[in-house]
Amino acid sequence: MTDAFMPVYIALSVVFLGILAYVFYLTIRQRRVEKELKLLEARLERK
Amino acid sequence: MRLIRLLQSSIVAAAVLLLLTSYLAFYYAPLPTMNVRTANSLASQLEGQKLEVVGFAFNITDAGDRQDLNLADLMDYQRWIDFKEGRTGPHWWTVNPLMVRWSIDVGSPHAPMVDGQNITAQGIASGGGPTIWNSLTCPESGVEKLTDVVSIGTFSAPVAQKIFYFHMPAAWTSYLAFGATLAGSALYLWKEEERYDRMAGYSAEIGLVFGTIAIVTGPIWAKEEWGVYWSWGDLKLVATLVLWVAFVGYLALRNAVPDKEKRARLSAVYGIAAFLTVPASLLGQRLLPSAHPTVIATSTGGLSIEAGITVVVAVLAFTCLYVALLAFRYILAEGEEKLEELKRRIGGEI
Repeated sequence: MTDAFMPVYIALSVVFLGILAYVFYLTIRQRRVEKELKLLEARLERK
Repeated sequence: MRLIRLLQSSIVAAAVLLLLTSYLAFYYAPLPTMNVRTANSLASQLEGQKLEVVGFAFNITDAGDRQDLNLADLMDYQRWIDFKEGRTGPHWWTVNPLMVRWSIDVGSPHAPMVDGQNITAQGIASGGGPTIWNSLTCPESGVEKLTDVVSIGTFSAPVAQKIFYFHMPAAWTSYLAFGATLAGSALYLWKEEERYDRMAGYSAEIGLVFGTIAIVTGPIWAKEEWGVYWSWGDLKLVATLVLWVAFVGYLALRNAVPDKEKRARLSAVYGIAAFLTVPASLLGQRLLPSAHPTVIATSTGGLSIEAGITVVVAVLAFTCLYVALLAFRYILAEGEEKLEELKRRIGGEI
């Protein structure tokens, strides 16, 4: 029974990992943007 | 603020629906069998059809256990493909070919028969449930009647069919996303407003995520059900791969052109052209013989009510996920624009 379910578990992992990978990629980009925004705003305030 | 609220609500909805989908797929939807109505419909279509012997499967169980036969394991896959590709009557293709399996019982008094022989389906009787046992005649060999030789409606890997509840909604969501790309592209060419170009680009990105999921999970199921990961002779599969490559090209194009207006115009034209692969992928199994199942089938559709409910919930879950990802992508783009604006201002001041 476990062997028969193995492809199902692999496919489910692909589904959730695929979505999570994209969310992770967006999150990293978002954090980088926020970090740069903070830096630039601080720089602008100093002027 | 509106985007954040949309993101939050769609994430909650997607999470709840995905959990529900998992529960339904594993505990509610039954293992696939064919219902009696479909079985009878198939039986009437087979009546009088010429069938050609293209492979043999040994009946290794006694008559009482025949429903447990795993015919796909016993038959040579390539022969089965040959069988599907035009050697049989056209009526075969009005039904789901995945659900059609047959074998010659070499243990019967009239066996063995040889490859290439013609046999005629006659006096088909539906036993109901997943299997129909036919009576066939084979005049060439002088055999009047063979009994219990055709099996319909068996899945060679019924458990792996649960992949369908995630594979199909992922594919559906990618079509939806590419549809939004088409709409965005067309609207941009018409109105030349940047927001439409953005919608097209972001949607294609998310469509590609779901397309990749569909294109990876499909072969995992295919390996279990058909015995191979991929079939290059299958229009449905190849068209879906072409679709995937077309939209990888779309994103590559967007990244390759630095000028905003030029990029928007080029990618709008390319996006519309790339969308032409969607109907080919969507209807591939209806246009040419294909081993891929047809989900929204006509009178011979084989989904049970429980499976249908599970699919609907799964489609809703993936659609909510698409909305959530799109909202997230818009929020990111807002931040990036703000950053660019700030950089311009600082550059100007320096």
